[in-house]
Amino acid sequence: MTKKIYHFFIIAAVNSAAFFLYANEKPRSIFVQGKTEIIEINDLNSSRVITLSENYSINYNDLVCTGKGSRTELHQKELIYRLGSMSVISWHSLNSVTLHSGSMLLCSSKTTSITVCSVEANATFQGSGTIIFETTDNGGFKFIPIEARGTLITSKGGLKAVKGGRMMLVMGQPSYYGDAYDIDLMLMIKTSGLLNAFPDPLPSFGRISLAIYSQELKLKGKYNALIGDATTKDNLQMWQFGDSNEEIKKKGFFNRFF
Amino acid sequence: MKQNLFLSLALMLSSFDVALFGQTDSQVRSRIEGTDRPVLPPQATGEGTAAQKGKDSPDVSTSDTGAQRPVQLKENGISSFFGYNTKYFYRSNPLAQSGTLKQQATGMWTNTFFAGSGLGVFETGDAVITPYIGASWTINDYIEGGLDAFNYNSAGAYALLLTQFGNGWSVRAGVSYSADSSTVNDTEDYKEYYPNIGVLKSTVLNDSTTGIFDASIGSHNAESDTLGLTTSDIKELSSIEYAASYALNYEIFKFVIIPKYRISYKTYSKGTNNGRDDLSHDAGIKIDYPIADSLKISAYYDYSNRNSNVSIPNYDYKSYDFGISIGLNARF
Repeated sequence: MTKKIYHFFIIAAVNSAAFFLYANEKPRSIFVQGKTEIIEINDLNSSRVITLSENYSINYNDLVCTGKGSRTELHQKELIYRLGSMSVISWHSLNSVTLHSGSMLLCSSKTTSITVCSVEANATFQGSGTIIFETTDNGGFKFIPIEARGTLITSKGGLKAVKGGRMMLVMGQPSYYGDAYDIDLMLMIKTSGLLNAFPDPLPSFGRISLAIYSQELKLKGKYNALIGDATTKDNLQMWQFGDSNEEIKKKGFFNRFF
Repeated sequence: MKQNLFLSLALMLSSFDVALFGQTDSQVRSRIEGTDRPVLPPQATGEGTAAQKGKDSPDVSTSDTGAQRPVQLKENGISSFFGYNTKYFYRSNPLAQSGTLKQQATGMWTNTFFAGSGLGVFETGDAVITPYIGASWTINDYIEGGLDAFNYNSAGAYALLLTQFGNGWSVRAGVSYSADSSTVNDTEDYKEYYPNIGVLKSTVLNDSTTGIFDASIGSHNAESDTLGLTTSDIKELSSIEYAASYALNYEIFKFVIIPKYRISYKTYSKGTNNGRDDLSHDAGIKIDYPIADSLKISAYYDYSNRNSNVSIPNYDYKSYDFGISIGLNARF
């Protein structure tokens, strides 16, 4: 009898530990601004919609949808996710996430491997850093590392080293790389809601500052253009501003002075 | 004490000589000791970069992702800069003599040509390391008060390793060289090697104000003419210097207003200066107005005060400068 009770407690302890470990692996909402809803899909394929509140564990494959002007931060072990407004996202495991539409920020201070999918593309990031993902109309997504170390892998494009400030476009199935641009980190950080519109600063704040500093030291010039959406498989849209004749600021000897 | 009396007597005699011959060794030395030697330009310390100030950006509204403006970068991070700076100013006590604030007040015109290079950008994950080298040449002319005989040229050079950390602190270690040559006599009056280490921390106080703290320790290994005393040593202007400063960088409209305070403690151990300790305070304000990306005009006021533990001769002095400057700075 005593032996049976002993075994019962052992099994209960193991199950409890497994339950808490599993629960800990699921993304948990930390901050919700505006309205964010979860579409829960159960085993019978029926669904229900609930409003996301703080400190709520999201089940794998459930859809998290942010409303207009809404933002949400979720933590999954050491990973930090921030969702922009009008975004739809679902997690499949600790290392796999689908951004159906909108934008998200991923921050990892430890080396990790994570596969990010969009409607039509997917890529695996191995490394650490602060990265913004934004879906594009062509079914792919922009991979924008603010500060990062590691590699990005696509099935058709192979492996590419990730560099802070160098945006890459991932598209197609099997996925490959589109255009890549070095982008103005200072401007991006000043204008990004995913970086600025949350109450707590990211733990990578210092590394982001270093990335800006490093880019400033290497800066040769700035194009008078802003990158837009990718509506086709060919190119990113580019919006020009300022003097159309001045493609690169500071180009030319006298322009360095005046 | 006896030695100090002799020195004092020598200085008195020197003062008498100046009336006859225009300049003396002691006055040249006094001028040298009152000379501010900027070791590093802001380009080499990371102070005042666009990254800190957030300038040069188009007006765009915020979005979740943020505005994505393409830029062109140098792959190896090797950069160069050169420039020219001209200053026209009033100096109340150009020979750094003890006594009143205004002695042999003069106007000065200085013209500085400088160049430098960043020898790469090395990212280590937690820090960015940049080696710098640079050099400068300054022509210093006294244009009022009959002090033309003291006109001199200054040469400077430095090699520096700058490490910037993500928490805003930067650490630098390097060595600089300075030398003054008399324009009239074509003689080298002073030279020094200055190995030094320093730290700098920039703090954004609000949208328009940045605070900059700087501290350094260095050894001035100097050589100059002696004053002819038996205990004199050509290295007696050598000293160990401990310095700290704090500046505010306040932007209003297109103007940048920079009030700054610096304190420095120098301790001497050679020749007639053995046992001498100086405590100096400098307070000033500068207003910069950028005319173009690489061209700015500035107006400034600066007050200096030095207190020494040696009373005979008296090394205490106070002086103030005010004037304007125009700086041209190109970066490649």
